[in-house]
Amino acid sequence: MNKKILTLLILLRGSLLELWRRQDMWILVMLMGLFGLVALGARFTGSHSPAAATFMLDLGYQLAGIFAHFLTVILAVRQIPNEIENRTLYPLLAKPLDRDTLLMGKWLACVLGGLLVYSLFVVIVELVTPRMETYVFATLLQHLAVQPLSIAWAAGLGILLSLCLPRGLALGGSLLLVFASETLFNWLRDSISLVHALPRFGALNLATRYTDGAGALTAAEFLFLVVYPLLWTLFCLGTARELFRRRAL
Amino acid sequence: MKRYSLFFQLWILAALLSPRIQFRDYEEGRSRDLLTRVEVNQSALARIMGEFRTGASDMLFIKTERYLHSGVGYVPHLTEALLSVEGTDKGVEAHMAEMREGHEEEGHDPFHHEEEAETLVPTPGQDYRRWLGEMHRTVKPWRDPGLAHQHSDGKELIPWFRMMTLSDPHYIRGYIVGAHWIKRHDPEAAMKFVEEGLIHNPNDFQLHLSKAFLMLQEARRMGQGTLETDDIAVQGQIVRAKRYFQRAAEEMARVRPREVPGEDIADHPDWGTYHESDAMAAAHMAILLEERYGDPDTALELKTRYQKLMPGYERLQR
Amino acid sequence: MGLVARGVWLEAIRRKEIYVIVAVSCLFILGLSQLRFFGLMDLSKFYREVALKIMGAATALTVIVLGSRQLPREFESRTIYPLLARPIHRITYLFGKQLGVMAAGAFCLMLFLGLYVAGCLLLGAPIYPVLLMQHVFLQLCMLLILTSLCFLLSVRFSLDSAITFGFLYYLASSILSNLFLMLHESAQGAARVVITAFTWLLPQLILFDLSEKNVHGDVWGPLPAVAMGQLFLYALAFTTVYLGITLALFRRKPL
Repeated sequence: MNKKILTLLILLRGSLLELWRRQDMWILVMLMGLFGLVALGARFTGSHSPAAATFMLDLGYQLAGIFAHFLTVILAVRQIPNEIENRTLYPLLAKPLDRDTLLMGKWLACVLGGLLVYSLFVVIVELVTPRMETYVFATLLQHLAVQPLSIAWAAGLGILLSLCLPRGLALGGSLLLVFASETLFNWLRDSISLVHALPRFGALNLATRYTDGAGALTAAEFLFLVVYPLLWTLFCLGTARELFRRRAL
Repeated sequence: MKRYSLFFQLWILAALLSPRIQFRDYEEGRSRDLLTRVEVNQSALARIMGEFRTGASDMLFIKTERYLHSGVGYVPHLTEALLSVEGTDKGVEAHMAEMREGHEEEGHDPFHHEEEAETLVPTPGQDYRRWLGEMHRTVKPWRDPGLAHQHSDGKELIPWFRMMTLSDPHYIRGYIVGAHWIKRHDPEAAMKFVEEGLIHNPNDFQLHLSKAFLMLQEARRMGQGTLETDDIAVQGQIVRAKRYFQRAAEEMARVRPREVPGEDIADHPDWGTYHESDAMAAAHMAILLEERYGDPDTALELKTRYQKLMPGYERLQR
Repeated sequence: MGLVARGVWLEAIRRKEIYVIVAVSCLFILGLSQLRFFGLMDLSKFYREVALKIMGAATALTVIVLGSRQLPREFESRTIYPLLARPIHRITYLFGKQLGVMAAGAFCLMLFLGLYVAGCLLLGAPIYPVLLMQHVFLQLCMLLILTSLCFLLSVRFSLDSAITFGFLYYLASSILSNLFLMLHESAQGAARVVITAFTWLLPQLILFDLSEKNVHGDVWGPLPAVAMGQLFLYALAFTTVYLGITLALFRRKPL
């Protein structure tokens, strides 16, 4: 196997092991369990009208997205600063491992971690929420296809901000951009056209469109939705790469 | 530096693509359907989630209930009559009249349907938490559901309507109810608010109807309480209102589901009683104003058209 | 105790995150007070509601970040050894830490309160002084519980997890209260006992939020002093239990 890929796999394994050991992942799993409990509780208390079931489905998908993005950002902002702080970065770079591979490995690990959690949460949602109205399955497929891209972008953004801001600020800034920028965009889009430069994670969330029973996007529309996070991810990773290269260790 | 400029170009490209990814901007949808939201907001899950329901429509339910009852949290239970454009107008007017006059008798205020409504924080007899429940009722605004409700002015709701429509420009209800509260203080601002809604939802018949009603009320105000005047300005305003009623009726005809003989159209999944009530108002007003202030032949044409469209609407068949 | 509390205070001043939380919240509150809706005057409930919520959340976040950081950082940077080498009892040390975190939280709350009052004056909005002071007092009681809870979490979990868990508990507390209410209605037998036990064993943070009465203060009067006293004792009980468990775990922790 190519030596570079092997190193990348080792890095991935290390980061995923770290994710497994981290308690915050389990806290999020517990919280998703709490959603399961609430959902089952609501069903148990006789709240299974079609409208309430759809509301529950929407809430479940929203929470799955929120928790997965939250965890991805937490993971991403501490990858490189932690390695520097614990001085584990030096032995890593002393091996025949260049900074680009290290950055890619860290990013991939965060993406995989986020995806793992997201998949788990989607399974929980599917298990606890009944489907009592008609939905367009293709819309769900589009939502599930776009969310991984959103997670990948969130990981890139977290890494980029962690390279130019102190850890706490990078975390706060990333969470703010991931969760609040779409709301800000909606508030200002009619008055300030510059808000289009904001990262719009919310635009990639088709969960409510799906639970509203709205139709799937056309091929061209879907293509736009795929290209948008790709451009942002490339921007984040590219800028992070340059910053990391120039960084004096 | 060259590389940074490349990344900057990627950013610009993403920004240019941004206006093309407004896929949450679709009209209608269950999350905006009023009857569905009434059902959802009464459900156990909604009560568990409390104020964590952040959708524009849920915010309307939470804030309307709380602000009109001085902060007391009741289980939402709006009736269909209050959901139509006219119902909203009457509801707001009567609510304010009651506040001014201090009436408490049942039936005067349409919001009185709430008597005996369940509170979100249970009564002492139903609360298993004993001391904790007592504290909960002390700390939060709470009133025995058996007592008459303490109503307060809905003017303070206006900022929430602004936030709702900014968050979701396709939330029609936010524009309609918001305009009816704003109009009490500034009719011009109310009109602008509905017009903003029409920019985002140019084909929505209820918004056109709302605008037409606002224009007609303005004409009545200009005519000092009557439309029967020779004042050119008043007549001009009536003609403009007539155009909007007709546009509302046209848009209604486009979206109203076809009536099936023997079935109530209000049972149609996409068409509630409040839709039908507004549909009737649009058709009726479009014909009436054309008859009185326009061309009688055109009025007859309109009547024939809407008689065919709404065979169940008795008033039109006369 | 004063020495330990002073150390916490100094750390709070040095942390950039705290500045950002405070600065962003201040900007929000100031921005809110500048908002005008359709040119209408005397609309203040929106401002009061959102500003009070921001105040509460930002202070809670500050206290959670600071409280969770205290013990792990001392172990990590090994500054706990010279401290404990002095004749300081661990309980005094913990009390000192609590005092320091509370002082920082109270400082933030007072800063926000000043801004809130300024905003109200600017908008010509009514202020209900007794209700407002009661709200501040109850918020401080809640911070007391949160601080001790974060100490406990930080002894048991990693720093990041303690912060995450602390903040999520703060956010989800009202959902849990509603959930118990709904579940109890339909549960029977042993399930009811379990739900009742959870209701009493978990701190009900909603009892420390008087913001709704402050928003609709034209209708609601201040709380009776007895209720305020009972709520203080309720907060004190949880704080004592949490500090007790923290102390027990802290004693067992190898230095």
